[in-house]
Amino acid sequence: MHSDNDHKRDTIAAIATARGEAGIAVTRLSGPGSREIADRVLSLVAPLRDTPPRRMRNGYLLDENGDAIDQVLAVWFSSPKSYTGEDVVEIHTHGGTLVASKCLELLICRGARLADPGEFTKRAFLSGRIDLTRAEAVLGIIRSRSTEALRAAARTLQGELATFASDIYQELLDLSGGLEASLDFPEEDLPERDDDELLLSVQAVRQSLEDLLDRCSAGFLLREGIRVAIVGRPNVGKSSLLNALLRESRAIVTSIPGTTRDLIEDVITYRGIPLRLVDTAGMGGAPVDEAEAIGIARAEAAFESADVRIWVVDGSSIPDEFDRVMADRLSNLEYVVALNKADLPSGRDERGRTAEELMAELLPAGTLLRISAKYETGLEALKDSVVASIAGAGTLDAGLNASARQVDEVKAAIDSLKEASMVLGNGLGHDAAAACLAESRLAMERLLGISRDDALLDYIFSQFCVGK
Amino acid sequence: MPVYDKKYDVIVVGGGHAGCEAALAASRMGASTLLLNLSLDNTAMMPCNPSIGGPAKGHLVREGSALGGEQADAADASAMLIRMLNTSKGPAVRAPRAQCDLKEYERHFRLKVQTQKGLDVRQEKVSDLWIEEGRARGVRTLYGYDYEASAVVLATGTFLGARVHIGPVSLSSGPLGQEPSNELAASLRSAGLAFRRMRTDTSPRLHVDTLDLAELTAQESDEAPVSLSLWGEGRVLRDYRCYMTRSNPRTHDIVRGNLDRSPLSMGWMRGEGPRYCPSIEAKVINFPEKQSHPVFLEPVSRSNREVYVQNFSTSLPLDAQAEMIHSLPGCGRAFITRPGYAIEYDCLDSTELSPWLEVKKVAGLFCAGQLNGTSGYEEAAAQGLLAGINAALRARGDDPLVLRRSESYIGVLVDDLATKGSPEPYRMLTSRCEHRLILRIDNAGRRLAPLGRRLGLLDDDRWRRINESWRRVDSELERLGRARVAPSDGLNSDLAGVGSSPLTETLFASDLLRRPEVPYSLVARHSPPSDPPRGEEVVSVEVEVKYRGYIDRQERQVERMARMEDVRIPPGLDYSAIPSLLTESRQKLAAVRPVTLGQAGRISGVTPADIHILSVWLDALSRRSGENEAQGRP
Repeated sequence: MHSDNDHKRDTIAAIATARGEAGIAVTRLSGPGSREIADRVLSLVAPLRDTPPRRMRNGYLLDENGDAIDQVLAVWFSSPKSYTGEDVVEIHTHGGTLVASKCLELLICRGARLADPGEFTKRAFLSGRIDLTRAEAVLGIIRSRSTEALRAAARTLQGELATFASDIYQELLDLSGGLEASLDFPEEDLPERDDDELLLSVQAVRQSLEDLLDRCSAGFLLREGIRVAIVGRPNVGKSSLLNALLRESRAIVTSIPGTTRDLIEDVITYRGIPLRLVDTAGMGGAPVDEAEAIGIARAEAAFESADVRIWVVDGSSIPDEFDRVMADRLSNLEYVVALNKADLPSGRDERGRTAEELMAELLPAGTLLRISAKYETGLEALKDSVVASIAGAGTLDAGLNASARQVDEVKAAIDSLKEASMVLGNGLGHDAAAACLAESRLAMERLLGISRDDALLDYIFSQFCVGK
Repeated sequence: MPVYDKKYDVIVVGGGHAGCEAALAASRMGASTLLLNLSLDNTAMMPCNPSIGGPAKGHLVREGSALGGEQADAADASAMLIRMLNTSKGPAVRAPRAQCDLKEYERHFRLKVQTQKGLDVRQEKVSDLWIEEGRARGVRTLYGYDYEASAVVLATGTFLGARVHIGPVSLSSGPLGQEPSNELAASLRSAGLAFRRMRTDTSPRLHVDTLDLAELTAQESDEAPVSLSLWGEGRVLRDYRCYMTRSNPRTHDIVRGNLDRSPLSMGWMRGEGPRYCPSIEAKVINFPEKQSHPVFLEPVSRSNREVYVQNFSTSLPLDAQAEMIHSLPGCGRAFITRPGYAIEYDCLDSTELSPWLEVKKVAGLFCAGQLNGTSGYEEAAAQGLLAGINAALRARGDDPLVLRRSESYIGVLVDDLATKGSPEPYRMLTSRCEHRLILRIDNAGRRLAPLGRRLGLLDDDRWRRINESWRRVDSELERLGRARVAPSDGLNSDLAGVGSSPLTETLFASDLLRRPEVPYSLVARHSPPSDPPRGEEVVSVEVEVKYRGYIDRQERQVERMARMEDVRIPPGLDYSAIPSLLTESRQKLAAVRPVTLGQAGRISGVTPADIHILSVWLDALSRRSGENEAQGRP
């Protein structure tokens, strides 16, 4: 059933390794065009097309301008003796996850398609490389990878970026819907836009998409990092924790003022991912003057807009009313509880229960970690836990692939709009322009996860009074 | 009832647009066929606006014509007015629309079915399906015989459980006062099929002699010959006109003042109505800011004096209808000959159907037309044609015919019905077709005539004519790619005339034609062909040259999807046995029972990951059965 279709298969790419700053990231290609596409983004001692299979080649990864951005190793495996049974190329990059993400993006630009979750395993199965008895395991892999990818996609596309993208989609729907309505209902008195007007609108949407692309590129999560708010009662050790994290981190990137609030953000990188730390000093206190009131409001905003919150609790005393309110607020958010002062004896209530037990009672679903800011213990586990709460344990590759997919869709949307501009500029029919806009619209629907088939018709019938 | 002594291959129930096409297709394919109709006087009746064609609908009609269907010829033969729409918007959406003489149209179909060899036509009221062991065996009637056949096509239109509403009055009635069919509706429900209730409205008819047409804008036929049929020569019609008037704030006030008597706003109707064809009440309610809506006055027949009021359907009481009509310019003293009304009816949940229009739960039972929840004569006829073809194939034991989304509007229509269903009466739209640029009126013959010929629905003469036409187009394209055009004063002045830059050096004729603003006629004038393309062949030549890039683009998309369309899903697949499917996807797949992986992927709510899982599972199944065969096990 599948063998006669094999030649029609395209070439897929994805990051194959899990996160890890120190190690090597592997980006994998599979399909008939693997070597050709890899050769387009690499400058090796000898191109892969002239290299025997399974021989490592040394060389460079080149960016869009042909500039070397990383030293890499590349190797290819010949069909059918490869993981997927197809021609497979592996590119080993050095510079952490960010470079792997860039490598993937380049491969997609040069003709590879981003692999669907679990697709390498699927291809291995379809080509008979995975035994029939393991079919059910294959199904499980496809399901779990796609669940991870969905979660990662939702996380990378949230907040401002999602609003921005939906606004662009609305503009596109407006443009596409208006054009479609005029094609399907020529005898109605619908508002008709002439070619020049349409051309301007198409270009405006395209510009917005280019802006969006700038913000999506190179892995949104990696570029923007994870915003971490350090919260808690006064004098529990929030500042000490912040300082400890900064001291301990070998690579302090910079201190930058927060864009939406004038709180200082300190950025450290952990396994290649920027963590943007904000100390929300003053939160929960009663303001004594206007300046402090503003400070409290900003701390509140930082608390709300953070991707994840580290709630610092003094492990040597027991939770009070403030902690109960905080636990309530956190219960629906992403957070990690840091029980500080692990070096001191634990506080106990009148019935002898420890602070840790009492906290676990307050937040039964929460992650509790014992740390000491003073002696810098438990910090690795804390950072791990922060990253895991956002990227999913060990599944940052899903996050990277998800943002690569977003880049892919935005680019597809832009390409179709370029075509639409050409059609309109050349004075070809609105049927061809509408077809290009429809492609662009569909790419944005995939980006935003809009899966309703009737989004367009709903729009047309709500906007235009059309008869027969 | 006694069993009729002749056993048919195919029985068609209903003689409307779907039923007539089904009966003609089946009998033309050599199946002995019986057409049963409630009343032979309502054969191919047009109870709404007698208009055929327009964008998407015209595509369906032309495709039907390429497959040997009759509707296009009936529309051409009866046209009072015919125009090509969307001429400036590109070749993929240009489409003819005819205003037909409804009596002539009926006459055409009635004569065709009554003179068709191998087709018996009888007036009978079918009351019951004859089903045995999950197979359709025939039909039973109220006062006549029981009839036996290998396949049954139901094309009962809006007649099942039909109820008409005019103001507060509602009555059990088919369209335009026809007899409804309540017994058959009950019989189908007892066969375990899911039904929906739908609704549509029509407008009042006016006496033409009571209109003041002089003050209105007239709309005439095109001056160039136009035809809906692939086989017609095209005609220019100058005798009849349509007139345009407009509703105004006074009209809308009258509507608002009568909403307490409106079945629509008072919730007296349960059926879901079409959003693309709202009644005047719905327009006033949903678009209160619009001060005016266009209204068209269209003649319905040469043999009566009635005029249809397009865009003015209503179910308000007759006195309110009269007041509203009188508020329209040109209609101050108009006399209403028939009131507008709304009709509610039962229709099948179309996801009960396979992509070849057979009911999945009852082998040998096919359904077509408004019964499947569509609206429009064109949608009905297209389904009738496909159902008739498949009933004939089923009767002979051949594989069914499935038309792909990438090859026809009919394919899109039927796939949408079978895969997604529709909550409102389904109307064909060009925007529903993802491959619109390759599904054009001008290439309908190329896409489907070879299939029509294979099915035995195109005779030698038609087949010869279409082959000649293709040859003319192909040789002209080939010639344009070879012929050179040299600059000359005459050419450059012609080019200036269409706003194109002058030629400075010799180039190929096809390169000149590739300029969007340069029409074929200009190129042909300066590079004359020996055997010039005729009529719409010119469009084919122009499209082939000017749109090639965009056509290639869509063809590549089709190719990418083709693999999924080729993977067949075994009919009895047990979805509950497949691990890792999402529960919602599992339920939807089990309900729709898609035929191919491609169809599975179009079911809304089934995720791409589920399709990957399904694809791996199917592969494992086929490998297992392969291994079993190799080892000699069953």
